[in-house]
Amino acid sequence: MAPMSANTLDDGPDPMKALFSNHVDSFNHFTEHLMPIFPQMMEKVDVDHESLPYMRLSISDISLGYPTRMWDDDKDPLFPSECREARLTYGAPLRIKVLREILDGDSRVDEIDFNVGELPVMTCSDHCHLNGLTPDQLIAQHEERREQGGFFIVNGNEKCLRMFVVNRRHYPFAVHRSAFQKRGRDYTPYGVMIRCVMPDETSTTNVLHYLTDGSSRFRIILDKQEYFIPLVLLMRALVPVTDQEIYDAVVGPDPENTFLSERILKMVTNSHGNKIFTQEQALAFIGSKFRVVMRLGSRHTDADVGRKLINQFVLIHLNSYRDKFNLLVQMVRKLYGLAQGTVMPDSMDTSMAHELLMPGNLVAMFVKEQLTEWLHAVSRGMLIHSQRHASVDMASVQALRDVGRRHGFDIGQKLQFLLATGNLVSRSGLDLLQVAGLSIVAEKLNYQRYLSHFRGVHRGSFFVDSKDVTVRRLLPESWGFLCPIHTPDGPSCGLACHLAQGCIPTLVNEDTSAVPDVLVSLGMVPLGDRLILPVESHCPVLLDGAVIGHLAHNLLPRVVSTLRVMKVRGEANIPPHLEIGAVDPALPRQMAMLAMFSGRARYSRPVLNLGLNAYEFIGSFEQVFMNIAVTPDDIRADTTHMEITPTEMLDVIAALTPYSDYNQSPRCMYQCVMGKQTMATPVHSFPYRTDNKMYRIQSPQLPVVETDAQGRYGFNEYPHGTNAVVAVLSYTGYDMEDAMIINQGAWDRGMFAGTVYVTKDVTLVDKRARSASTQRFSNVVPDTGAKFCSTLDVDGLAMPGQRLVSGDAMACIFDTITGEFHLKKYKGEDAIVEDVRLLGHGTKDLVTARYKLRHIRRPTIGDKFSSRHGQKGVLSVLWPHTDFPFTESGIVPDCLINPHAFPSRMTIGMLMESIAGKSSCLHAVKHDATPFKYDEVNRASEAIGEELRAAGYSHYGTETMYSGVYGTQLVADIFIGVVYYQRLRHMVSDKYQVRATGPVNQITRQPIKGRKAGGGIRFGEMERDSLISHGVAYMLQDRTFMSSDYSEHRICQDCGNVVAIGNEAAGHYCRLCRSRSIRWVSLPYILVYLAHELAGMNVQMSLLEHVRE
Amino acid sequence: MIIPVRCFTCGKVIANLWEPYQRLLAENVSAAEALDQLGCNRYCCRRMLLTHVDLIDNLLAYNIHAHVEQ
Repeated sequence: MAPMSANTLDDGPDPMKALFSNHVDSFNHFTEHLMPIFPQMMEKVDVDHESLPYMRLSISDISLGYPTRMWDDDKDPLFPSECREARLTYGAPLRIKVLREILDGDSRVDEIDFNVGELPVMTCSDHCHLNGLTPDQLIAQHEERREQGGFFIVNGNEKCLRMFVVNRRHYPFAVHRSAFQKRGRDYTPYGVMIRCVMPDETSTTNVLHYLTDGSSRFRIILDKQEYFIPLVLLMRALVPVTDQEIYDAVVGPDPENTFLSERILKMVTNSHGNKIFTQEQALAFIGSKFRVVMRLGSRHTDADVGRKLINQFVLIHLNSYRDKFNLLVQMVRKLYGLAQGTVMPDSMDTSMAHELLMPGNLVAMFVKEQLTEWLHAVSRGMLIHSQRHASVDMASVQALRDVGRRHGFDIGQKLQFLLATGNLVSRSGLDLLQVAGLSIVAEKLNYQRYLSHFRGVHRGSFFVDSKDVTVRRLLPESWGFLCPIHTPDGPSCGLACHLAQGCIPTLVNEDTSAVPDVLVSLGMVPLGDRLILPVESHCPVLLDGAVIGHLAHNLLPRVVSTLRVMKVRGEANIPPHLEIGAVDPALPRQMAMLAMFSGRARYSRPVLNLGLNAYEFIGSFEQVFMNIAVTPDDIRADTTHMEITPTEMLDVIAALTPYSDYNQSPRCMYQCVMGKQTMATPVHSFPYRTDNKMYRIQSPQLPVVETDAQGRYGFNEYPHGTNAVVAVLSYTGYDMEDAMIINQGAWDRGMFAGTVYVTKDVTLVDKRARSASTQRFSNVVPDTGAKFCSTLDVDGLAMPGQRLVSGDAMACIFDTITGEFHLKKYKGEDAIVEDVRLLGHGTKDLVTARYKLRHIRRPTIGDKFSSRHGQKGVLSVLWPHTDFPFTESGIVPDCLINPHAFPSRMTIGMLMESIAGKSSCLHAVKHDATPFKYDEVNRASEAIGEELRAAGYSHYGTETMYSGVYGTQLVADIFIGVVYYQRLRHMVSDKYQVRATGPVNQITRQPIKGRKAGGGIRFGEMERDSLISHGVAYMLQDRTFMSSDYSEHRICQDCGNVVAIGNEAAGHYCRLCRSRSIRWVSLPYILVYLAHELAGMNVQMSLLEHVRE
Repeated sequence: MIIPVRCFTCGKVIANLWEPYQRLLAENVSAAEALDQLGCNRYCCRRMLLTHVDLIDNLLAYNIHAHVEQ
């Protein structure tokens, strides 16, 4: 069924580009739309001190430049590859215009430019030099041909801001949380929560709490501190209202609901105690309480402070106080419904209640806050400056310039810190639940892993430690938005998720100005600028968190369907991503409502609108109330929509698994994890990469059985495995317990051969005094001109292509003052020098030699392999080609796996891949293994079996085989086919750990731990218990004593002291009891250490039982 | 990278067939027929040619020695 409308996806962007667009486009949105509105959204900062003229600081303009080689006189553009190789930060200068108004005496306005540092810039964004380059130009800039960017470069590391799940904005959720009771006396678990976001993405969460006395309080968060405002006080501060108006607005058509009416009545009556009746009184009262924490100057009246508080912290997505009041009333009604039991609490764990924290939005929030803090810092600096320099006229422009330079800080540096460490240092906390782990390294281990960083969505580290597992649960609401397969098992299961293929988060706040009029024409009773007044059997209409009117219950279905038609057809200026969530009045214990959302950062995905035969973007809130068929067979009378393909619900990585619908589901999850650990082709631009560690496979192949995602997302350019001929049989016994046998012949011919690139730095000694360093790389003896070290080149460095083994000279350093040479030795696995770079860290002195070393890694016993079905195994033996079983046509399999791998794991997909692979090779066509292509009627096994039969093979995929040892026919026919195998990065040569003797801890003299340090493997308590139970005393002594901290000491035979044995000409004696009866004993050193520690506390330890009194 | 010299599985030399295979494909011969013509009958050898990725073309775009030759 091909859609007929022009509203199709075929002309959409490159699917590969779309995978990264969440990051790139959201950053572009920040630079283009969010940053320019900061000046008008930011609060002005006052300089208020009796010794200074009263001044008011604000920012009038912000501009971001382009990355530039600042140390260069020509100021040439700086490119990402250069930053990567030279360990620099890819940033652009951020400039602000500061406006200062002097309000005292001769009032004046000055405007001064300030440079506030290098703001890291996202690659391939509008402010990146790579933006808009053709593939050839990208290659010329040493980037991948289809580089999509999306990461930042900080100190040479590629960093990516994670996407996080946050609560959906602009919808009041009824929540039941026992933690609410901890807010204070009388607080109940009931609350109505709403997350509000300003147009510049500044966000805050408000909660309306229900108290046991029937009243309620409104929570705001100011600088991470919670404050509670009584409801009626806040209502009076928002609009001039009488008691009757408050009562009518909240109770409305339900006066017989005594639960509600009694409590409201009581609350309003009780509020009379504080004698606050007018709006000005209420604002002034609130203002007087918040004056200090708001950091406002004395020129602001209390009412002004109150107004600013409401503007910045109360329902901040709405400008008009009347709108705030109307929404507040709606929240109150929901809260009392919740407390009464007529409204069910909403689950905050479903995707319905979620949206995303996009990287660009996080940067926007962060930068805006830093700009405000910058102004405050300058404001404080004014006073300090005037005290230090009494003669300076603080009203002068020069004084402001000096203060800005001295007391303002580097905002670029702050963002660099956030990106480099992932730690958020913020005054307000940015309405986030966590302050660490906000950024991750975009590892280029292989393409799959790299891609996953940009598709990943994390629920928040808060939940990782939480005992509550409900947040991890896979809920049907996330269908089509988050992948049910691609999540790791273990601590972050269900928390680290990935966006489904079809999910495209919204980026812009769409124009909804036409919506209210359209709704009125459809029968909505508009609110206009009146106070809210609930109407009998009408439900409120919310548009992005503003109550715009009421709609009769019976009109709701028709209004929704008409709006959908307009939305899809683009009629009447209804925006295409408008989310139309109709909470049906027929649903039990729900608050009926028509809630519409048009904002940024929502989950959104296209589905087929069956009525219009066109694509429609739907959100996670409305999806719950819609009938969407997955396949045409599912269509019922009330079905309105259908999925584009059934695989839309899968993530890019999960969609790569062939025949994944035939596997037991956890196996598909394991494959998502293992696919990301595969040695593959991480990049093409190897010569320009200096990653700390990079894995590469020598002769990768394309999978012969593949899904549609393989080609669509560019995986064919970065192949990651080998099509192996795999026979499933039990042979030699080396294939037990998930071990696999590899054919020595295949090994010899280069199968699975790989290399590892490692980068090592050799730095001239003094890192801090870089320019003053007296050392340089040189290998020429000044007097003779001869080489100091014969294996190194004259420049003191190893030559590309040179082999290095442990102990070889790696670099030769010459000290110009002492005239001495110093050799840096190589330590580690045998390596070949790939290339050497000299780096200056942004200066002209070349102080670091960066070696890129290559280790050759042919498969060895213990290396890990896996198929694409979560079937991992280790290489147990390289079996001679001649002793392998062979088929009639002379094929000797590349590897053997044990049949026991299948029954319990039920990875039928792997068996399907095996026969499909064999058939593909025979017919030289690729098999489309996209899941959900076959069903019970149209069976895949029969289709493939038929192809095999046509090629002259058994349609079961089996072949007659002969023993490689005896030459006799094997009794059973053997299942043999072609399976795509991945070599995983876990290799024995990175992990083996042995030691005879080696380094010991200085204090305890016991062997140290750690493979890197040459330490031992702990012989722990359980191992000790084992030896004891075996009764092998000598073995026990050998392990825990002789091979550990064996030591010999003198001991006094009379008092048992080991800590104070004196030595004089006549021999040794005890310093404590003057005894001369001294002898040698062997003791664990840790015991002697304990004796010394005790002696330090004036406790004597005796090591003898029979101490003389 | 560049195609392995021999079929991993059976040891038949196949590296010499890569260019003829590419030529045949360019002449719009189907992959199955091309492999038959080149004498690749076993599925192990067919898979070598069929699934090989000649990454070398992509990698040579970043040849750091290119300017030395000029």
